[in-house]
Amino acid sequence: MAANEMEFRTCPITGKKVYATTQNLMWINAVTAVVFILIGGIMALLVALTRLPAVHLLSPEWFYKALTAHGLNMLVFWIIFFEVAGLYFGSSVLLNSRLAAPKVAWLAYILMLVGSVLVDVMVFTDNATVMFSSYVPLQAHPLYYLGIILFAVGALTACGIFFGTLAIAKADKTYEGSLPLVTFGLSAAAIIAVFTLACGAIIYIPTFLWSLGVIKNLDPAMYRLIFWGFGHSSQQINVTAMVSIWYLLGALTVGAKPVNEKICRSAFVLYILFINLASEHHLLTDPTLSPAHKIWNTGYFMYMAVLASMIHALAIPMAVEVAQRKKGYTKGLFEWLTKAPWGEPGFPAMIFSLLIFGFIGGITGVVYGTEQLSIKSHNTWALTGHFHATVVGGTTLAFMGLTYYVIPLIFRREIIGKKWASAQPYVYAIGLILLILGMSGAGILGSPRRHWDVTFADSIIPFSFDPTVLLFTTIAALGGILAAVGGAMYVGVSVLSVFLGRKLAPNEAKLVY
Amino acid sequence: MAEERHEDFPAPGTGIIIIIFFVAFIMFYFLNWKWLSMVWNIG
Repeated sequence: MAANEMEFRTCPITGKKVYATTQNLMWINAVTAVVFILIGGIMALLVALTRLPAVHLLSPEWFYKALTAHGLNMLVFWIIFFEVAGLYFGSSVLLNSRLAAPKVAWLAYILMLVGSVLVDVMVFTDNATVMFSSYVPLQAHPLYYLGIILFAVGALTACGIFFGTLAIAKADKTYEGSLPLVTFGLSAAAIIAVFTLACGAIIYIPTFLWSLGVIKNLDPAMYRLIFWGFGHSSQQINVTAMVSIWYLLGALTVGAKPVNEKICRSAFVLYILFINLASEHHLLTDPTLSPAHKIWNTGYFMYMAVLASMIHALAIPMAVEVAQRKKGYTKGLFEWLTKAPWGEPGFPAMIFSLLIFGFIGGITGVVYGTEQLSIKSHNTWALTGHFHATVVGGTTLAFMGLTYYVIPLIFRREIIGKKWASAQPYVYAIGLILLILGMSGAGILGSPRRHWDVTFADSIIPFSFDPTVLLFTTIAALGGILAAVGGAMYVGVSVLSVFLGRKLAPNEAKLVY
Repeated sequence: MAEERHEDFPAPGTGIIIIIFFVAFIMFYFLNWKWLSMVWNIG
């Protein structure tokens, strides 16, 4: 083993050992994630300005290209690169352990990077305008599928590094008792990731061969079923990782500790057992599955995962309230909340993430995931509103909040633009709430998702929506612009801080902004 | 992460948030069935 693999420092704030190899790998994965959120964010702005009839910015060709790139860069590349950084943090840093096989971890990173660049090049060169789902018989260039396979193999390898590090920590006795809750949650995310990436391999390898002409026919129904084992389950990894980060942010910002940790751990187990059933939401209007199957899967068993989300979403504010009341904020029902550290970016990021995910994403998800109600919402913009609440309002906002602590504590750089950092979660959250409400309102009135021209101006059969759709579409576009501003603030602060921020001496790092 | 132990319900504010959540959920669930019935008339 090379000497630098054993080189570590001890964080003066957390008392945790930070190994140099872990820090470097976290840095490269997190920085790469930010590059992809920048690409995905620019695409988001272009899509939002095209959906708005008054602007209608892009041509149809560029709209679908931008939408495909937006989905892949945001849903897959930004989030999974950041999650890999999180897995290395949750295993190596939180368990005081050296990282298993750092060289293999670098190989995993290179595979993910090559894969994601390949996918983006194919999309931007008109070789893969197939949207995120790339439903067969839509066919992309073989290099597009190869890019996704390489990315998935890299991510799977990173999960292996995570599990290997857990084994090393256990063998070296670097921690006592059970795994910390955050690491336990990330373990659940990694287990779900293995299932997800296996589904990706099962469907993308034959699709790659089909694009090469080696396989003549692919069954579109089989494709849809297995694809969503990858496509939606990857969002379940995000949910599980996001919840783990909520617990971490609660501890970092107000010293929150779960009132009953066993229940929280049980909820993570419920995720592992049941959350992937939610993938079949996408097939609720699909004629290939029987109504009985759909109702049992998504109408009964899936609620076990909903139960888990509710446990987490209520355990965390409860932990925050208990911690705040212990500090003396006991006046009335909500002094604990009004006196919380709203000026620190991590706290509003956590609370907005929790509220947007739970109140908007959770409620709409359960309702739209009901077999009968899905007929009304399927393929409308309301669905897009739902998953922007879960993945963007929930996951992305939580990841953004954590970034403001990782930069000073792990990368040891002073945050440049602390006021911008403090304001960023507010700007982003308000923009997202407007975006989601606009999408949901227009979608409930029938506005379709993934559509270049919501006015149907050039359609052969004329059609016009209720005029309220235009109002909601405008609200969504304004929200999208505001969210893009919030996203730009995040990218600006984090990139400037990581590259130009003053290097912090060990005793300078602090949690309070 | 150590566990906190309490004799009584320690978070009444969270209790109110839970109630608001359930009311919002019930209203949205009801509204969606209502909207479905308006789109798809039976009888």
